[in-house]
Amino acid sequence: MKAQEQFSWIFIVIAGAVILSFFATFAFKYQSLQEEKLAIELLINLDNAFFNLQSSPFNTFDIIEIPKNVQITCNSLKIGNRNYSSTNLIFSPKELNDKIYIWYKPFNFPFKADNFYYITSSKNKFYLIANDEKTREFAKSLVENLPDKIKQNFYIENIKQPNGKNIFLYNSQTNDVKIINQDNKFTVFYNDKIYEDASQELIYGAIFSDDFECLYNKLRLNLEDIIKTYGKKSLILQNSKCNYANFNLKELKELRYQNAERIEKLNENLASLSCPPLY
Amino acid sequence: MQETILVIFIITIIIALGLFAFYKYNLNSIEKFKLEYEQLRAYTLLSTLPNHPQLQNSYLGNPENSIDTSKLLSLNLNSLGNKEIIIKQVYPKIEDKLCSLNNYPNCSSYLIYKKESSEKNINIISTPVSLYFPLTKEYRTGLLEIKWNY
Repeated sequence: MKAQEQFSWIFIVIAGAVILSFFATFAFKYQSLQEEKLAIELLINLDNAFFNLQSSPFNTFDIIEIPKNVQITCNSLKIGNRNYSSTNLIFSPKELNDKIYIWYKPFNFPFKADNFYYITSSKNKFYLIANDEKTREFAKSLVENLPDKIKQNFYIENIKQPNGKNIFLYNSQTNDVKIINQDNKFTVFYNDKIYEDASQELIYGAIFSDDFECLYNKLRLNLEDIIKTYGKKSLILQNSKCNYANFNLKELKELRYQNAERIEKLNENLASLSCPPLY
Repeated sequence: MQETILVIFIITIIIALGLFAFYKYNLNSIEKFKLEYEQLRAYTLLSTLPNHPQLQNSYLGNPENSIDTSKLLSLNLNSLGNKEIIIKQVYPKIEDKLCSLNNYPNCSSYLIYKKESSEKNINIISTPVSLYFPLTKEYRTGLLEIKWNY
């Protein structure tokens, strides 16, 4: 009788453990399932926003609420513990939460080369550090071009500020991002690397992004493909009357604004000669 | 005592089966959700692809609502998943030939992206597009077709 009672208790303990582990497993699996569902919903929202914004040839802007933290790296979006690859060029702080602002700008260099998305959350702060009237004017012009909602995240200051990203508009001895305007030629200093003659889109890229170098390289790779496409197009269009050999599109890979301007002029000249323009 | 254990055991089994069924139902709904997401992506691609910098026609940098066919012969699109994307000229009708640098513009279809998949189900979606031929400065009617596996 006593042995039977002992067996019953052992049975209860084992059965209890099995049942408990089953419920625990179920709870964990269900939680991960819900997380994935939420992540997919969030991805759909972001995809929709990107799609709607890029269907315009102009600068566009959107706001979306995100229920979870999103970590954005150069090639992926991380929602919760899950990574989703992304081919978009997203210039943003590493971590975003709550309400996010998405500003879209087509990157024309000089032909449309890519789509730029500048993203920030309502809580991110950007300090443009100016040291004289000239740099202060430059800072004002940078803020002026931003969408109204994003303007609220930007502050023009004289000295480095805590709790935000500092962007120095003069050559200071710091490791922060520096953007120097010399006779309307802009040089970006980012993590000890120098990006000379940067276009306006790249300047904003350096301001918004925490991973600028990687995005810059990704842009160069994308640009290479487009340069090849236009290179082949120039061979198709080449004839005795219309000369496309001077374009030298490869120099665009250096991402220097003056090269884009030179190609723009060549393209306009071709059009004035009644030749099909390259772009 | 034994009857109590038996009753608890059976009830637990019933609850466990219920939870399992509920979990499976949720899993299926997630799969369905994923499929809908993939579908949405394919439709999004269908409507955004004509505006892609490597496809879109422009005049002095101003985007035009057409596809520049001279750019289609050397495309290198980023990974778009397991899909096949073809642009076909449908009007005026010409001999069905895959375009290359040698036969352009006397050809009818441009294979712009292809990545095979082992999935058996194929979905085909398409949209009419305007095709621009810069050599002859002509516009023709085409069809952008996306085949995707799921």
